[in-house]
Amino acid sequence: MSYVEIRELTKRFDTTTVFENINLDVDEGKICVLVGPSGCGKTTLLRAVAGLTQPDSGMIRLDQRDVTKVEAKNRGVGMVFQHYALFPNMTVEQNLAFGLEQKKLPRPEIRKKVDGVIELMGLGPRAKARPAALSGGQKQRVALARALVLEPKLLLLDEPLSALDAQIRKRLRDELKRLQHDVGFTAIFVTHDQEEALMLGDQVAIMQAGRFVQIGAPAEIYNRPANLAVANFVGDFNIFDPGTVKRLFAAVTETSWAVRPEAIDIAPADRKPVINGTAVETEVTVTAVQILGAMVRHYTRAQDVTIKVDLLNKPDQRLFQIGEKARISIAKNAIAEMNE
Amino acid sequence: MHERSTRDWIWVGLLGCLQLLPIVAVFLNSVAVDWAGTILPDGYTLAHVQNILKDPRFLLSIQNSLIVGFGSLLVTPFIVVPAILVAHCYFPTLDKYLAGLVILPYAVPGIVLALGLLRIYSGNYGIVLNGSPWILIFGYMPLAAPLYYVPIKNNLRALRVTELFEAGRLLGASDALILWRVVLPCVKQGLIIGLVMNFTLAISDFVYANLLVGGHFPTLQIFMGVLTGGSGRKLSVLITTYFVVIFVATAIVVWVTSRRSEA
Repeated sequence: MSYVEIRELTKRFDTTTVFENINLDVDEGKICVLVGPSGCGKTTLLRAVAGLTQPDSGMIRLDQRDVTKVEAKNRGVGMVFQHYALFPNMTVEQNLAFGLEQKKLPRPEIRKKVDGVIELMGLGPRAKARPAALSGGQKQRVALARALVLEPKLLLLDEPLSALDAQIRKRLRDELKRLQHDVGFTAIFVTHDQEEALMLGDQVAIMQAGRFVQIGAPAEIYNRPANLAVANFVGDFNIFDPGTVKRLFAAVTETSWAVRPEAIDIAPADRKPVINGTAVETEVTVTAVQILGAMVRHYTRAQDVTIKVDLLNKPDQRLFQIGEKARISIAKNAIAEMNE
Repeated sequence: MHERSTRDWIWVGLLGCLQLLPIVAVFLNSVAVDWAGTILPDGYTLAHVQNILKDPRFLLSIQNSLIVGFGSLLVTPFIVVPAILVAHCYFPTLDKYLAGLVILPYAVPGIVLALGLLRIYSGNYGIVLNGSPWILIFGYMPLAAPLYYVPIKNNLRALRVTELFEAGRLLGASDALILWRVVLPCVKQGLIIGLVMNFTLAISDFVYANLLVGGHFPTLQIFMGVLTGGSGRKLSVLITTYFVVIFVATAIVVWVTSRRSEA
């Protein structure tokens, strides 16, 4: 039996069905990331788990207790909002103490817990500051601390990093992962950023149009997308329909192929690529080269089809020139076959 | 950053002078021996101040104005402010109607509103409201509503109230507690503006006070009306006193409100 169980959950707003009969299991001490495009229903699902919106039917069970109709404040869940939702009139310390005060804990215990979480989150120098005096990253750390200080059974995070700039987002992502390792909380994390989902999640649930299209470990989602929609969403797959496969690789297939750019080998046209195992190959012309940081993206073209190829950006890496003829090859075990 | 030049100071100083000039002129007139045809009075005396202070009607009118002013503050915000907060937080679709409703009293001519109020408060409710300060205190309530509504709504618009409520509920707080401990302190500035303007309205109104209570309950403004045909010096003393009363009362309101929200 899972720690969090969502069974046949349905939510409608008037005539619009947000999600219908969806199921999800999350194990204790794990982070489940709900990822999907805007409007797919992931935030509504999170709010239903929090008790902030009532589902029309179905069941939510948390730690073997049916909480479907339990008031939000009695569910034992903590939530971190996209825009922090910190109380502007209170200092960091007061924000952190607010929930503990509602639990009627003795003052010394509140003080101890607040000091503990301030130290854990590295908020010491800003403890007396009000939210308006904090940076976006600091605000989000306070929001996270405010939820964690109550030791919730389940932590819900609604796109908590999306309002932050890329640098801070990356740092907070690392911090969150470290915290989860140290504290061991169970969390459901909503995002529309696939990189964030893959990096943070022990389990990733891809949601599209109110249903889960794939639930699995990050590596599984990344390498074996269930369908074209998932492949398009979780990354930069090269998608080849059966007709293209036949034209480019002279292979016969009834399904489409999805291939990661970094899974494609590229070599000068006069040298045959070295591939272990069975592979398919074709000749291409390099049309553009972009440095992406750790990777170098080569846009190549073969018979009016654009194929993206990524090479590791090593100091001794040979980069191809625009207009240069090259030969690409794809190991068959790097091909994910899928239907529409 | 732009450095402040003499020209900048002149603009600010000019505005300050324009604002202060009438008050200074009235004050000088109240302590002038004689003032005609010169920039400054010919001499200064406190005789007019002493005369006014000896007049029992003056002290009574001050006392009555303070009763109406502080009485209005003890009643109006406790009805109007919760209504504004509740409409904003729970009935956002009805809020636009409230926006229209609060300015309605200003669209009705004063005499019509006064007659309407007289009709309402002359009814038999077990207590006599007619001619008492209560009719003014309740009568000013609809007039004071927009004075709270506009600044408080401006503060509320800057808040993500729904998220604050949701965060508070998840932390175990009741809605009433969230309103009291989070939302209300966040609209403190708007509330202070509303309180000050409410007080000023209550003690500076002549039209409604004259029509609704008249000589039964003479306020400072009614007393001023009485003096209008008489000594200009006395009237100046009265206006200076009125300004000091407003200033002191405003300072008290601001002080009390800030202390409460800091507590």
